[in-house]
Amino acid sequence: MTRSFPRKVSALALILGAGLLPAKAAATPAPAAQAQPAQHPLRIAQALTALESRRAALGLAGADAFTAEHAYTNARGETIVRFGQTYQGHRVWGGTAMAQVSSQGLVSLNTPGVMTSISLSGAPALSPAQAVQSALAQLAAGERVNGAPVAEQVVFAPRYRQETGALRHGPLGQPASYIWAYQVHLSARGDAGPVSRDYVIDGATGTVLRADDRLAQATAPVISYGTGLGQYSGQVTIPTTRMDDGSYALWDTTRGGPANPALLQDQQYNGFGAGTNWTPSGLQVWYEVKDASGADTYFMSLFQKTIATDTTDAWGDGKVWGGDWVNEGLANGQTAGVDAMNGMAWTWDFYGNVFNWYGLDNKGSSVYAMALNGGPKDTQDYSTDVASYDYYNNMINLGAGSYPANPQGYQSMADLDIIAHEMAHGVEEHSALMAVGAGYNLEECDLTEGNADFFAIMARAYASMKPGADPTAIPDTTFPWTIGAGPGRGTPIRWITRPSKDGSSQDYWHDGISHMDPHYAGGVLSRALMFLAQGASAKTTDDTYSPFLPGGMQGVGNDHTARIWWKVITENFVGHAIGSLTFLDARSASLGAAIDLYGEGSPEALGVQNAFGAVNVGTPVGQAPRTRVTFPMVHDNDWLGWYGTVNGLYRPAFPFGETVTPKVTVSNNANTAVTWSLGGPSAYLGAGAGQMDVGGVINPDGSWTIPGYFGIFAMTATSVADPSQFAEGRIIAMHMDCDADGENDAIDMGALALSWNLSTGALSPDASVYQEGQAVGVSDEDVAYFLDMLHNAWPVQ
Amino acid sequence: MRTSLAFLPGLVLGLTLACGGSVSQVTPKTPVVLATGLVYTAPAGTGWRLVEDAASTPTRLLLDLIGPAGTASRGVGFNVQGPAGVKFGAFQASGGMPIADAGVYEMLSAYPTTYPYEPSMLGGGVKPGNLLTVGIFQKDRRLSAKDSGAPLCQIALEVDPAANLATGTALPLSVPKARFIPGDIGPTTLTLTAAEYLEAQTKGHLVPMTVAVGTLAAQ
Repeated sequence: MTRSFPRKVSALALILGAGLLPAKAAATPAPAAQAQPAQHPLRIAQALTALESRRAALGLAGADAFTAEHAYTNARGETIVRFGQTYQGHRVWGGTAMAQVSSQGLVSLNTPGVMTSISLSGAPALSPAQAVQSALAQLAAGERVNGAPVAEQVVFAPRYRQETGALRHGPLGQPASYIWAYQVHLSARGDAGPVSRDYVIDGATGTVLRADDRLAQATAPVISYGTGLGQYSGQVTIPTTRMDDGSYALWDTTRGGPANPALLQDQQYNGFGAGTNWTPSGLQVWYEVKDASGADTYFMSLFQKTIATDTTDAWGDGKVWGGDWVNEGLANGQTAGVDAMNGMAWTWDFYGNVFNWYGLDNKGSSVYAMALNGGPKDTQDYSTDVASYDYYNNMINLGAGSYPANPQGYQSMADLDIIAHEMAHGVEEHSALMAVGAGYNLEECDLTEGNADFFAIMARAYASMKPGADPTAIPDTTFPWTIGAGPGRGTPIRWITRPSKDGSSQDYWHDGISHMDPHYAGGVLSRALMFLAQGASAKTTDDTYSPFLPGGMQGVGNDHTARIWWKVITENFVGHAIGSLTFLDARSASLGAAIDLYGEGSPEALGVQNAFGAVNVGTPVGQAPRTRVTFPMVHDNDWLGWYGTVNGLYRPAFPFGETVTPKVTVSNNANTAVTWSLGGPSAYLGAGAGQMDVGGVINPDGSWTIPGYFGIFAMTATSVADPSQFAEGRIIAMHMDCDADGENDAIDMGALALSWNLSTGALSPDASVYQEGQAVGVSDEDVAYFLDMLHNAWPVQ
Repeated sequence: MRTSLAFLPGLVLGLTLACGGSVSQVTPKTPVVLATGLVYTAPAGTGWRLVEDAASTPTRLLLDLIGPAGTASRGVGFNVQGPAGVKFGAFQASGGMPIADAGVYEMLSAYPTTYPYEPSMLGGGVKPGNLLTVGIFQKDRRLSAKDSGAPLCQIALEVDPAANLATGTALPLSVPKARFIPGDIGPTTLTLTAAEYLEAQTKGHLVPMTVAVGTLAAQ
């Protein structure tokens, strides 16, 4: 994310006072440099000649001109000349050019700051005196102007008016229009101290277009604690900062040190916050700046009060976001900011106090939140009803929530458990670094989400601690183990006690669970950790009951459970995003951690085995190994595993229309019979969605007759001996009759050969295994899948 | 592998003597010797044919597909109807496929270079009803066609011990379908003009061939 917007620019002038005077130059300048200033007139003339020679290329008219404002010769003898731009003899506000003149008189120009296509005639409607009056009217009560202000007529591009920013971020481009304006400088004194300001006044209307402070203050940000009224957090005290203009910002300088990379880039390359006491450090809350229609302006703003209208350190109105876009920085929008700052601060302290982990990366790098993401123009709610963590910018995105405009939508995502879930991703990506994302069919991705849900609950438990409690321990929870009940208006997004209550998630592990979205499969891990912490019930109607542990179990408490799992992700797991970790690895690593921390045979070590056994990952203590149904991993180390585009790692290919029996393994039971069914648990999105099809016919002998069209078909094999054990697999149905003679056989490979890698595409529509027509062409992927079909459909016995 | 069993007439005599009753004459049956291997006689002629490879063993018959000398080809594919009692073998060098490369065709891409796991068009399977289907093809048209008058590929046949075939059983073997890619397939570049594409379409077809099969018997 690189959209950036400078908040209102603060003081710029230098304060000259005792101790701040520049030191006297101590050394005698080198002879070469000493001679150069004498040559400045020549160098300036050379630079101006070069600039004038570019007039046509720059698109300048006769009314445009340049005046040298400053010249400087560096140690290499190069003179850098800065020019101001004029039009009809009047200064063009912001128009500038630079030239570098070598000691040999060679000139190189830097002209992106030149403004072109200026076309103005006549004169401003207002007189200079009227412009001065407009400026004087801006002085605060008690401020008395020094001397007689003067109005300078200038050319001004309205795009640079104050609320759109002093410097536009991204490519400079050219302003679309220009107007006559006046710049009025006021020097004044008042109760708050000296005033030095430049005002740009619209030459037709007298409107103040800019008010730039010319005082650059050398003060540090002042730590403050404001009063926040959050939607979810209620009335809270939140860390804030008093800025050098006296306003307050949602910026916590007490937590974190090293700069946030994205905010540092804004400071370094775009000049954001230049001349102020703002730095890209600590915890900060920003928001996307929208226009009145809710469209993104591609700027973002720190939550900071406007000193002219709000001098308080009180934030938020506690109410649901009402959709007053363009005023996100006011009280209603601040509400999400309050919740975000509260959630970030608690989560930061949770990791720091409990685990001695500083920030998300254990270096204390600044984290910032973007609240009120999305909006009415986000018709798919891609960001509005979503929260995420961005590793590279070390920031969290919090959707504004599409409710109430969308009655089925969520409210603001800035609830503590959502924030803590996203920050948990950050911690995990700086420790175990497990793979993340949907569509990879990796149990490791499921573990990533389960980990984030678990630590979200732990952070929330930590934030619920009673006054006087041990700040280094996690209290046991007194609230339901759910995620997202706030944004869900009372209905959670996920239930950790019984994940299947959301209609999609799984309560127990099965082979193929990673075909599901990791948020739905991750519940197996978070539920196991919930069992470990809180226990499991022996009552069949309870959410915390498991048929794999019918007698239930005692929990060992949140604190011990969190320390076990913390040890797993920070010391045991070496994910590196390779994707090889499984739920069984999570069990083994947890057992090892429990033994290390609490001893072999401890309630914690026994609890780990029972908790994971209760979600069908391994078995509880004392139980015999269960029947296991698994689909074989195919394409682990072959062409399709390396290069296949249909995620061939777990998916064997079969030819259209054939009758086959896919391979499945049943272990730990002499009865290896299975019953087949079409589809599987990952069909929660329905057939056809999420790259998963349901089709074909299961025959009485258990074989499957494949449909005659391309698809990735879900199949479930359930153990006859133990119907609680099943596996979901995926099979790709592909076209094999490439010579279109009505028969699938190896001879069809010849038709592939005739079309292989032709630039024009295949010689016939049937030639490819995707049967997508001639334009698609035939490649080694077709060859690899063809061979796979032969291998799977008709193996040599 | 089951060994031959010989009927032992002496055993029956011994049993009847033990029973103590009157003895009746028993005519011993001709012993049935179960086959452990296959014997193949090559067909006559110099056209497309299956001939025994010298590397065959008593229990594993290797048959080479050879074409007519002087006929250029870029690959062949054929189906073999296996008789009951015969199973087709796999080749480890082919990754378990029931066909082996005899080394005539160039199986990988011409250039710039080959890459790890690059797939080659060598494969097959045994369809229901004991129908072997195999193919070996050059995928890269930039590579030259080859003279078919040499072993182009190999298949393997073995006796299925569960079938309890008697030695001497005649085993009908046939090739119900076979095709080859001819030498002339039009342009031999991968980047085609519109005219070249049309020529490639006209000439780029699999050509039917008749594969002569010899006699097969169990032994």
